[in-house]
Amino acid sequence: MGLEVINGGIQTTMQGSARIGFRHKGVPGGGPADRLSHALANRLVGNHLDAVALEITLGGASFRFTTECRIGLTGGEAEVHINGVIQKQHRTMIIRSGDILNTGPITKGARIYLSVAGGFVGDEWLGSASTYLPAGLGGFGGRPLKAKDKLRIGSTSHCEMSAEIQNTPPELDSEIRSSWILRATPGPETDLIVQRDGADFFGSAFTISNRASRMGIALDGQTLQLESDGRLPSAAVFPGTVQCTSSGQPFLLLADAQTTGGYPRIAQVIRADRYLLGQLRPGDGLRFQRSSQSEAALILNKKTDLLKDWLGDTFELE
Amino acid sequence: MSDSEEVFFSGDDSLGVTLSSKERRNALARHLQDSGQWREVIPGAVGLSVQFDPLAIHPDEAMLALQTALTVKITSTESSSDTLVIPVCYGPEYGIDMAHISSLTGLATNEIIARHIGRIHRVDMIGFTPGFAYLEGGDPSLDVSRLETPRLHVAAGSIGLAGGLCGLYALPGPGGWPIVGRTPLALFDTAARDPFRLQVGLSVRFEEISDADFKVWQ
Repeated sequence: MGLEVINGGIQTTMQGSARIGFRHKGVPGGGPADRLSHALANRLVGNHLDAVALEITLGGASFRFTTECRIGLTGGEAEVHINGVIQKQHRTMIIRSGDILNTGPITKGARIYLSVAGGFVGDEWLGSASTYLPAGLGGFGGRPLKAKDKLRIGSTSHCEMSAEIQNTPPELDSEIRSSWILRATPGPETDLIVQRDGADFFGSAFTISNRASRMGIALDGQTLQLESDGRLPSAAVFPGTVQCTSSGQPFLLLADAQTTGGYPRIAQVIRADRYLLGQLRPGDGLRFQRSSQSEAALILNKKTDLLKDWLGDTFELE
Repeated sequence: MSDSEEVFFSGDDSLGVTLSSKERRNALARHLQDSGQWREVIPGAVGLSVQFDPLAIHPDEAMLALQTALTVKITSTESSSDTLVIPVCYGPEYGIDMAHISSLTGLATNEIIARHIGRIHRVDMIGFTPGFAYLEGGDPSLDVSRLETPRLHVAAGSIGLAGGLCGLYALPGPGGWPIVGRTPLALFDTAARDPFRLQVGLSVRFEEISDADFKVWQ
């Protein structure tokens, strides 16, 4: 027994670990769009930090539990109700069989993560049960959840069971914004941008457009001018790569993005900030702040140290 | 290492290098993969990229490590005897854009098939989507442009032509290449240790099969 979907909302998928070492086969890493919130959700219920949780995009999902369990909710801000009673996110919740969980529309950020002690059981593909929608593989039949789906919960024998209710330390859960500054290094083709009136990609204000998915986000607000026809020999791209399409619109890649591309790569969001990509929602403001490789390494070390006390030595931002 | 092989950062945890030839790229990619030093090694059209973990190795050291790897003399271990024969059904049920390709090239269907099976192709790159293989070495007369409106769903095993290359769809998914035929051969096998049958550098020969053969294969 486990959980029955009443309403899958806009898009709810199972996400667990990333697939590492397959990019040369065209397979993206995938996994949670916001890796930190996903790990924090698993931490609340004593799971392995990569355990399969539900990634609920923009909210509007509801579930009926068919077993007793402990759950955690992290990520974007939404009104969450259990049996009609409003709940606090970032706190372990005890669920009884028959309880109904409702997530209202997400009002800040884009994704919330629902973990359950024992983790959800999904289809494995290349060693991970993370849902990869473009090929319909992994997770729950490779697709978003819909009404009447019945999800299984794994064994809790590996969970670090504690009688205590856990709360995410407040300094780790306050990062969801509606106006973002992401640090990024220049990309290999940044020099192809024609500078106009001294305006630089790194100083420009962008808006998250409605064209946003787990693969990427089109950025509105500033059209860039390129010194080329916009097509280059295919080369590696990663989550956090900003490509500039031939129309001059920048495009930010996310967890499920293609592994290679032929558009100029004009910036790369640094690893320490990449988990935030999963929380960019249509309408949010976004600026890129230029960072060097050495600065980025320092920031990553600092952030990892900060997370160590709560998430342990093995957690890595990627 | 030649002077043209300049290593550059493409992010805070990735490096790229432009290489002089495909042989050099393939040999170096294999060498870097075998070293176990890199999180990802990704061949591109004219070079390759690597991803590293900045917590384990400082970006400047990673740059130095890749520069050093370029100075190592690597002998190509590719064997030309490795040729994978891929059976293809070109019938209208599978070669869904054959008529379109015929009108673009001005060639009759049997002539297109003859030219497609008449050449040894070579896997140049795998990328974009899982297992999608770019094959070079095709007949220059089969150079057609992409579909104006890409399809949302292309069946696994589909074989497309575009920009002078031949593309193999290992998995179902979206795609914009005109489809000339389809193979019943599983290009992705979940049970295998390396589930993707196609490797960069592998030689490929296409062989025509009938509709009936296709169904037997499956």
